[in-house]
Amino acid sequence: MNNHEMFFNKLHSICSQNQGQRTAATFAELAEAHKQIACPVTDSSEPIQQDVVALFQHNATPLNLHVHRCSDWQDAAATIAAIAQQAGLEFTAQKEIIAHDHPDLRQLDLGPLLAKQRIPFHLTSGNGAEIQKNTRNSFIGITAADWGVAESATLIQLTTEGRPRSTSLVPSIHIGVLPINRLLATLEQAYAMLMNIPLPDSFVFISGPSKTADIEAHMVHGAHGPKEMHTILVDTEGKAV
Amino acid sequence: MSKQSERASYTDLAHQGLKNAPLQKGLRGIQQRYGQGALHIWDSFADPSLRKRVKAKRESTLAHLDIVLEELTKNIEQRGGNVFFAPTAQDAVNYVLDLASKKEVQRVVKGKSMTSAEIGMDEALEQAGIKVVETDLGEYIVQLNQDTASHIIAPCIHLDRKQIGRLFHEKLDIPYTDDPPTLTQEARKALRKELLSADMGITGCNIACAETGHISLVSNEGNIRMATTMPKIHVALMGMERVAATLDEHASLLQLLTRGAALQKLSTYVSFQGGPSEKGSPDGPEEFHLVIIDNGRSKILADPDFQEVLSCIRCGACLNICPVYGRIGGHAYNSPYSGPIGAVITPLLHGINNHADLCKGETLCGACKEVCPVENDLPRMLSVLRHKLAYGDPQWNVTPHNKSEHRFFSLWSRLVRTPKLYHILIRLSGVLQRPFLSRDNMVSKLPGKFHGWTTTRDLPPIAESSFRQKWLQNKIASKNVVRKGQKD
Repeated sequence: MNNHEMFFNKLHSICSQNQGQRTAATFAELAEAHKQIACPVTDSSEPIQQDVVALFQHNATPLNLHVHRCSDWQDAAATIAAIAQQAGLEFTAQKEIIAHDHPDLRQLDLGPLLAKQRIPFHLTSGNGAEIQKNTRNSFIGITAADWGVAESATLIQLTTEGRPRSTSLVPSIHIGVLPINRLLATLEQAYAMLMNIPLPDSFVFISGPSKTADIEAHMVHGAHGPKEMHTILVDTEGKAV
Repeated sequence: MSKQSERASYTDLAHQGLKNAPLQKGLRGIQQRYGQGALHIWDSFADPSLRKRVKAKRESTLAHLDIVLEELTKNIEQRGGNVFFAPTAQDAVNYVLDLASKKEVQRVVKGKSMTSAEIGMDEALEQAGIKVVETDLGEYIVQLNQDTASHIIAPCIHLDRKQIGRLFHEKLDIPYTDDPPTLTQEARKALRKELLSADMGITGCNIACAETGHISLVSNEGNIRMATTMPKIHVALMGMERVAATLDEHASLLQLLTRGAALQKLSTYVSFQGGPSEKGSPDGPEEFHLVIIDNGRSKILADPDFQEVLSCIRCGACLNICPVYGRIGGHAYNSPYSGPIGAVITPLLHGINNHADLCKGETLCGACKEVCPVENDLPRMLSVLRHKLAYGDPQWNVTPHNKSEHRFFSLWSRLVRTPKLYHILIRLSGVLQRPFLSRDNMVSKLPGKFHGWTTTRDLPPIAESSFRQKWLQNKIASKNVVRKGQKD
């Protein structure tokens, strides 16, 4: 008997004895049974807010997450250029920026804008080693998010081709970009989106900059991930989801 | 674990905790803020029976654990991940050591994992000559201090900023400072080097999801994302019960976890990993290994008295409310799992006789049950453990813990069922107690084996006339009054 068989046989004989709660014979049956028990987590203290953008902003403030609402892609690009101009360096000697190679971000056309500030601009495409090097040399990483969640000021990012994980992690500053038509009100809605697509090997929920309170419960931003985070919400033609 | 004989006793460590001023300050802070805060959140839920329903789902998943883990395994293997089942701690350790040796791993970075402490992973790797670095700031501080964590969520709550400042000055060779942002920045710099250059990242698993085939990890610091993104190999150590069947169940558990642990709607990062990264990706691990660990859990699952404890999602809320943990701190529990949950799970995993003090040290006040996101009835399980220690239990290899106590209470039980003898003895004790009475008329020192009863408290003396005597006298007196009244 191999490792898996041995383990499952043992577990099967234990679980079979639990006659009270054992109702399903297959995973599909169990999943179906679980659907009958709905458990949405909602706080009654949550402000009732029709405007998801305002709700996102409301929840971003205590997380030290900066939210910028931009009227179009051009406005978003200008906002990013302004952040790049003001922000200081931490790990590197010169300013470089890396961005996800994604249709949303290509619309920003950041290259020429940053060239004016003499900031080298990279996309996460091409050779893997090259991307790694550029990521480590960049002080800002710009990512394209799949969805936003207003109730927790969260961006959800799937790891797909052109959108590696380290862009939102290794640089000192993370800028997440999201068209407003993909901003959802609740985490429950976001999970519903995840249920309807084939999921990649990796995805992440990001709610603000990295932080720690391990020393005397004193809150410090920038433990291992970015110490500063901006979310750019871009107004789009499409209506809100 | 293996160090039973050399470890200090619960009582000694508890006394040390009581005398540790930084610990006392840290405990007060965390209990005032987080324990009460979690209760407040549960009260604010629009739906008061939510936790009950989540618990029902959780228990249903546990009752189908074989089916659920099979689904998880299938989905992870489909993405090219490896799944290994470890019946014991040693099996899990050996699997990781073999892998490390095959891949010529020299440097390991860790994300905070209690399971890894449970199985002794760090020590084993270090003995094999591999450098192991804890990357959670609290765990890193504890590792530099050659110490152990004293809280599930806040590992270095027993150290203050001055102690940490001196530690960093000594170990990291930096000028002394007790400024938390500066100290954090120094750790950030030191650990970044490790995180960007390690060969293997080892993490735990907060909640896996069988339906999608992922493990998920929560962190505020980002160290866990680093440890699962930069090294070529990611090993996740998972207690076999830490799995949700469906995404829907995952959503509820995740939100209860982050609220219970730190009053957060979500932690800064919630990352899902379900296999190696795709070929050609610039980052993410080339190999993904999930080690699913039994190490005594199947025995808990098979016992209807205790299977409920496997619903625990290790948020640590019970530590933040427990009056006992809140005074003595985590080290007294002699286990990676401290507080009320530790007092139940540690004896079950590592021997009930071995950790007999834990269930007796708790007060059964019920606060842990009230604050638990899945409403685990820890006080009930503590009582069952006490029962097993009093009477023994062959199924759990428990021998009666204290034979003389057992004999004393058997005698006592016989005595209270023989009223005449009982009353004579009580009257006699009233006389015999006199030499033991202190100036304020309390019994403050009992002789011989009974001295333990008076080490930390004074007992009121036995009254000169008992309630029963007084009652009888009162009855006679009132009858006399009635008779007198009739005569008049």
